Amino acid sequence: MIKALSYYGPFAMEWYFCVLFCFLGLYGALMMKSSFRRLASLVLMFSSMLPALIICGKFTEDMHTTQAMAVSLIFLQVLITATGLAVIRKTIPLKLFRNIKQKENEKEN
Amino acid sequence: MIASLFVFTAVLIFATGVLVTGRLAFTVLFLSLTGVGLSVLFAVLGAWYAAAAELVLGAGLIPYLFHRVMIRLPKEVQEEKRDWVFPFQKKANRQQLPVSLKILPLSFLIFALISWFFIPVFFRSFSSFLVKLQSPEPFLNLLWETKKPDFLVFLIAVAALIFLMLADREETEAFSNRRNSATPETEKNTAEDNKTHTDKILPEEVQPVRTAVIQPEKTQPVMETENSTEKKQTNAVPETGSENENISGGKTRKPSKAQEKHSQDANGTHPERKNRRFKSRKYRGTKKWKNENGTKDEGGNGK
Repeated sequence: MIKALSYYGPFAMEWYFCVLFCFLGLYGALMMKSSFRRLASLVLMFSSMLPALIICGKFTEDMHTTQAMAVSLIFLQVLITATGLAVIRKTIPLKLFRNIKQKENEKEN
Repeated sequence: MIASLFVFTAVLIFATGVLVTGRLAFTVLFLSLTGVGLSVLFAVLGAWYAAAAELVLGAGLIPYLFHRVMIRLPKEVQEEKRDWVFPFQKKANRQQLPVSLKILPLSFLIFALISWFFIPVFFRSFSSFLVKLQSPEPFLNLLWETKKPDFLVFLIAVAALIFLMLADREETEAFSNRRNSATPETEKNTAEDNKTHTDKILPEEVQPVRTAVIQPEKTQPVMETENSTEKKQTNAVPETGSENENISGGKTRKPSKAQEKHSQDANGTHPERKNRRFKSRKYRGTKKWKNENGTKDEGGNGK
């Protein structure tokens, strides 16, 4: 294990965590029933893939290509985050205030 | 550099808690912190554009988080919020969370083991893919040529992952079927049945059956004394009959306290309990026993 860690340089633990959280995100995206958790899992996958991509670029010394791919991934991540937040922002207050209005109407009646 | 890597790993570990709990504010906080931590990491590695983009993503979520924290919802909204479930999720699915939590530590351990074997193929294939990005070879061929044994390990890991997911899904579905089979009405009925029968008023349709059990035939031979015929009549409706007139001197006899208690018991108490009381030797031949059966031999009428 120590040999394997030293073989991949100073980023060995980061590789380990990246792959681990990528799997965790995949598991969450496939298994969770809540759409919010699925989106969070997708974001977790992207977040774990980004450093792997950047570290690969660092090793291959091709940072320009890596950055282009990383920025495109970040753009996708922003899209997913914005979608999740918009869905939540739209659903929560409407549901909550609808229930309150119903209760108020019941009280008045 | 070590500090930025530490931030990144710590934030990602925090993400697991966020995924399990599914709290909105925590999730936004996780996204924001991860973005900031990653931007620091990218800046250290020299990927300035990626660092800037990640910083925008991380810092852009802070106003939303601030907005969520600072808005103080009224009490009614807060009460409703406790029962609120995320979109497309039924409230009954909340009961499935413990089942998922049971398998989550196991799956986490398996993922850790799988990812440990998965590191070499991930690293080599990805870096070689970046190097030979301009090469005309398809990606899968490239992956296959880099390291065949690692690719087999990768396939085994994916198969194990799919198997684990299917097992979890089956268990969850079985649990949900169990939950759905127990409808709220049946649950309510079982909850009522579990109560003691003394707390429960039996419906009228059930009463005749239970009262029939209260007066078993076994008790009859014990009571067959001089007033055996009288007893049978007293159990009937106390109308102005000829035999009743003989007992109470021509007047309609009021039901004794014991009789009242008997009728109450027939309505209220459990029949088996009543039977036990009748059968017990404690009351046999005593004053109380006879009074309960309407005889007037010793005192009568419970006086």
